[in-house]
Amino acid sequence: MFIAIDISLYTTAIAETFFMTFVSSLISYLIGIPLGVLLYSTAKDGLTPNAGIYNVLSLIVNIFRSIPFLILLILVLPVTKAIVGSTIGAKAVIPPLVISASPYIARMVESSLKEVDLGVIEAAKSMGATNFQIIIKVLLSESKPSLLIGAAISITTILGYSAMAGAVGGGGLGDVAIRYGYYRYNQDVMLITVVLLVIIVQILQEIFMGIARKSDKRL
Amino acid sequence: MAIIEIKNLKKIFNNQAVEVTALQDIDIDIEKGEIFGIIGLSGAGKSTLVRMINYLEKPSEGKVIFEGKNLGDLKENELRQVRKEIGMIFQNFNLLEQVNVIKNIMFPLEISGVEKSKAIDRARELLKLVDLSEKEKEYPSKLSGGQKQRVAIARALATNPKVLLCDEATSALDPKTTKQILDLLKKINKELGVTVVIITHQMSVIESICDRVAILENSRVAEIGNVKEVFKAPKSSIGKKLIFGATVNKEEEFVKIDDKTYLRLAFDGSITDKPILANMILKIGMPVSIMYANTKVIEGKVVGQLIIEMPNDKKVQYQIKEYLDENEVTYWEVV
Repeated sequence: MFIAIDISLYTTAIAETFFMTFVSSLISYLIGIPLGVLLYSTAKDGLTPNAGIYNVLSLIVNIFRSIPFLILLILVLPVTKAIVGSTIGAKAVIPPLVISASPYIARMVESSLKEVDLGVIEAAKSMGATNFQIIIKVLLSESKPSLLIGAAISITTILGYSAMAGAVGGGGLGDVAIRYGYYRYNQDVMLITVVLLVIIVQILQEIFMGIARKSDKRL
Repeated sequence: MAIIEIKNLKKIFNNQAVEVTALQDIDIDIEKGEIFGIIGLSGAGKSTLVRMINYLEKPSEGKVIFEGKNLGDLKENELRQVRKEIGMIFQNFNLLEQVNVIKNIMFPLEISGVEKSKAIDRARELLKLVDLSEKEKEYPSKLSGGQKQRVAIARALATNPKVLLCDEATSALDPKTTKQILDLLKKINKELGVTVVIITHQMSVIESICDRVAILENSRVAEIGNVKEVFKAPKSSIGKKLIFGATVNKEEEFVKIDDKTYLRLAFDGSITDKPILANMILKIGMPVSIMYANTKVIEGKVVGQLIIEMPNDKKVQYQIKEYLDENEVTYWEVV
């Protein structure tokens, strides 16, 4: 019975899951936003169209996005070891999560920026704005609600991936589900972790969508 | 000296290996302090032309000279400085949707590094000018089209530009709002001395506020001149079409149906207060039918077009022409 398992197992796992998800999301966004801006800017209708840079970036992003996360997790073990110093535990899941999520986020950011009306960008240019000013004060500012919706999708995806990391001893709710639930045939543990994951995803999704709705001044 | 000199301008677009000439042989001087209109049917290249005035579009050939500076010679950062002296407003307003009215107006000041408190003061001053002070904190989505365009005008004027470019600025507005916006543009021109360049496909916009007009057709300037003169006697076929509208075609149909002769009389404002037509009828002793009449007030003067059906008698026709010559009425036979 699941009561036999210490409740602290779950609280630790939840904390680990949050830790993995948020640290990975943060770093992924730090990489993904500039990468997305670069993709947008160098694209055909971008601020500084450059087919060469765009095609190379686009290819790299697509390659990383097509590798299944579980495979990537194993492929980048040497990188993980070099950065974190270990290949097990919650921290060790962060490098593969970041490598996997950054290109995904870059695409999300690119598509959000594409929603910004080209007329508004033209107006900013007519006022003598630099490309950097246009990126910060027009593109990122005008696409804020869309970026937040993207964040809701990206962060819950990262959370899902972090659970997968349990397969290699990554810690968190996924780890509990596999070690206690799957290997030890404890279906109750399996069920509880899944329910907990569903609740967390639901809460995160609602929070971000709520912020997105509230921040959108077009409504 | 003209504030904007457009010299031998040409623009070619490359659309998938096919070269499309959007504009060619464009020579226009825009004088300081005037309201200059550029009109043409859609596809005539007027939007491209206005974007070359602030170099948002780079010409393929030719020059745009702003206050003696050839924009083609300027570096990117110098060009950005020039753009701060040339405001622009658009058909779709192009306001920032996620920030409120006052922040929209502060935007050009912010990117020019103006101190925030000074920017707020300037924005409030402009809000007063466009009569929207009470909407300071509203977001653009809550405003009507006319209000949005007024915010856009305030924003375009924030950096004290010498020129205001208006790209179809009233095309998305209803007639009443259009009039309000045109009145505002006129006020800005008169009170602030801002040179205004108006791009439009609406002849009514040109006649209500422009001093001079250039008519574009097939990527070239078909006609350029003083609005009153162009309206009185347009020389180009596109000018006639835009000014007289569908009636030109109707007249052609008249002529084909029978052999009657029609005469177009043009009034330039100096003689419409005399009963020209009534006196003429009394003199020739024969009635004439008015086929078309259209008079408008331009810059406080009445300008009109009148088409009359000529009597068949050649002698009477001669008398009519003689009478019109005596009274200095411009006329020509409708083909």
